[in-house]
Amino acid sequence: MPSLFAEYEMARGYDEVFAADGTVRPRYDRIVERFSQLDATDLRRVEAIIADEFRRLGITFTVYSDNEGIERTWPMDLFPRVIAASEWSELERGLEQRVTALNRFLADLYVGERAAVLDGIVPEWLVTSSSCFERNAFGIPVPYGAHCMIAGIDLVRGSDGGYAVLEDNLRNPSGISYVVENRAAMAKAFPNLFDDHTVQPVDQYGAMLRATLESVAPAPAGDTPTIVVLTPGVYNSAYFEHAFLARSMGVELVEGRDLVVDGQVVYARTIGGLSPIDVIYRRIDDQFLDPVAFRHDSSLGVPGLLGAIRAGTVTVCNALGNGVADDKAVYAYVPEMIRYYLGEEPVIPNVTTYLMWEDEQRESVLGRLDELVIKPVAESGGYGIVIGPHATDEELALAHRNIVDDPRNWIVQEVVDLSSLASLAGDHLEPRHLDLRPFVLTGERTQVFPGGLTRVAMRKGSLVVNSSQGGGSKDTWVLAEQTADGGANAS
Amino acid sequence: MILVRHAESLYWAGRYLERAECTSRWLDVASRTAMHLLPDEAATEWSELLRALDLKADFEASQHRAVRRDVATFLLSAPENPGSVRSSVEALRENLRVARDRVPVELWEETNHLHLEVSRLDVEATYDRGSHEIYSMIREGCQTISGVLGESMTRDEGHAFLVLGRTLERSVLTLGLLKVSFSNPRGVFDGERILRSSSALQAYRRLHGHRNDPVATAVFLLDAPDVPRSVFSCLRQAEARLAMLRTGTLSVSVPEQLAGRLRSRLEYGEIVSRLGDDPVAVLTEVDDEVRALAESVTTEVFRPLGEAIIHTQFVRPGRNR
Repeated sequence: MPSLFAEYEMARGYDEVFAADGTVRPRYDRIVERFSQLDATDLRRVEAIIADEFRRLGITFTVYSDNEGIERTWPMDLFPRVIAASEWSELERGLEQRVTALNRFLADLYVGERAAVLDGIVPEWLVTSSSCFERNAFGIPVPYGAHCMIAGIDLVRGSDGGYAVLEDNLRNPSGISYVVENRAAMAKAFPNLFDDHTVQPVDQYGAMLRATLESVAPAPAGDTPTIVVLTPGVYNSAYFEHAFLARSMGVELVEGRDLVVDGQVVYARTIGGLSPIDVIYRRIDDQFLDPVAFRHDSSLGVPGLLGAIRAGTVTVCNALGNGVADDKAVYAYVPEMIRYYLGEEPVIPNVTTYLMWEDEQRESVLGRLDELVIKPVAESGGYGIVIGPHATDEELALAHRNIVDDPRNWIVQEVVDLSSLASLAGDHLEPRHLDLRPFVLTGERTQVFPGGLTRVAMRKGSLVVNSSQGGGSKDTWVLAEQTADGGANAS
Repeated sequence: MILVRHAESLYWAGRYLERAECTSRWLDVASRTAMHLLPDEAATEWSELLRALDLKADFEASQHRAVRRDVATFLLSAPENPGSVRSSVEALRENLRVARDRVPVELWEETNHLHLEVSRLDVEATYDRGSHEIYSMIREGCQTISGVLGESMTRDEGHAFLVLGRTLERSVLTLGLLKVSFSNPRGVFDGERILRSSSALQAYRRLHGHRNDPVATAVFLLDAPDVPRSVFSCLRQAEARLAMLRTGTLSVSVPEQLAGRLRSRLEYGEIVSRLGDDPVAVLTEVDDEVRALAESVTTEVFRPLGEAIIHTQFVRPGRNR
């Protein structure tokens, strides 16, 4: 029986399983041992169980091509990602710190004295020119200053194994439903894999989220506020997740047309008449929330909702205007925010970023753009990004010219060789690049949910982990403290 | 409390579940009957079946002929038939998806399973050798869903709307079947086929033996209190669900009044006593009242303020619905 690892060739960057000398990192010891006893037929069988499970449960996402939505079942790789307890507690500390600082910044900017801007920590022009800077959010206080109740922070691991933040998602981070469903599928397909480990559970997300949302309800709602999840509808690609959230919290899943605002109070249309709503976990963007205040052509939102938010009769999660803090340019200032608001050094650094509007930084990189990643500040969704090592001379020359002409519109980052982890490729295991999106909840206090969504590229050498572009996912294990996690210093 | 939109989706899910199961069972029974008939008699049989399902006009507009395989293809999977089993199962799934957060995971799982099986179905290629497998698959799928619905769903408002939809659809279908049988151009009343289509043959035999008696059959299917597909049983269930949905501000609703009135007229013999004189007229009268009741659920419960909530997935078969 050929070993599944027979053809394993280490990729560029940090390998999660094997150290440079080929020895197995302690936290993966038992998993590698278990997988070594399996052959490709076993894995095919398990893969079929999982695919069938996802299909039966209708766990799908929508891929758009040629303007047509195709429903695909969720792709999950069988080889789990393992994070040792000590490694996780460090990440937990860093994520809590980062989200706390970001919340402080949002509260300071929209409700407070704008101290960070006045003290020059973040340039004012940068904030006011952000397309997500929301004037309607001014003067609307949020309980506990929790503007971002649900955050998703994208992390990558560099060649030395150190984690860095690639992106903050403070508006509508998605993926948590897949974290929970991946675990459920793994537990069914591979029950004995869990025998040797104490893995932190993930099915408490609904309870945690509900407690968080209850804690930010407006005061008049009392002890049992009514919460709803607001979805754009069944045709949205994340509808599965929206239904999952409502179900796991035990609350209603509503669309804009189910809600009505009367006398600055939000109500749901029920069989028994109008029923008041205290907290809305909305999964639609700011611009679609209220056709009176924002986009008039939107039919997804609720007319008059902004008035109700202003009147303080309802809490909308996440709060309005959060996009200003997860802007690509503002990202570069988050380490400074941490120092400014918390008086601490950042636990998890940013990917090294050069600001082209800073003369010294610009001059230091213009000569070596072919080694770097060039990103336009104003664009999102990967548009306009130039990856130096893969770019043509013309592309690089154009990027050079753009930066010199309009330095304020560009940032430049070092290339990160994403870490990689053994994944099933045909009948054997091969390394595949991956990232990690942990979720952070903030109400009365900030809590980091154990693990997060590991996204993995499904092609050799590819750095693209988006599920819409052929990426997959992995169950992500955070080992509990009490086990001999062995991997404490493995990284 | 349940959102109006979710209530409406679950109500229609109940209707489509019933429709899918009935269509398949009727087709199965009719195929077996047709085996013993001459070709033109069989054609009459098929046309009766289509009439009972309110799909005759749709069938004639399609390219199919009134022969076994064509009718089966049309009723099971033809894309141009909005009342096919495949369309019904799709509509069932879409409606449950809308109210996904109110539906137990087992119910959703079984619905997905049936949907997968039905969408894979290639009737034209497999019908001749595998019609039995097709009918069993659909029957088992629908019955598993019903079972899970009964065993795992909380008896809340969502459940009440599902059951309400199912019982109203069932009454409409039973009445359609009876009406058509009395106006059969062959002049033959095939009580056994009707009773078998309503899963009531054994119960009837225990009471009446092998008598092929049109009026006794009609009375049985209208009035029998212990037969799940009798109109009386359906109305009693519908009435109980509507009573459960009463709210503080809403006293007895119009649909509940209509259901209660019709149920008591059946229960105390007013309707069945007139059945012998002009069965078609009496059956039509009951059918109209059940349809008015269903209509009032839409106007009084789902649209009390006349708001137009647009549900494109609620395409109903037939012209009179």
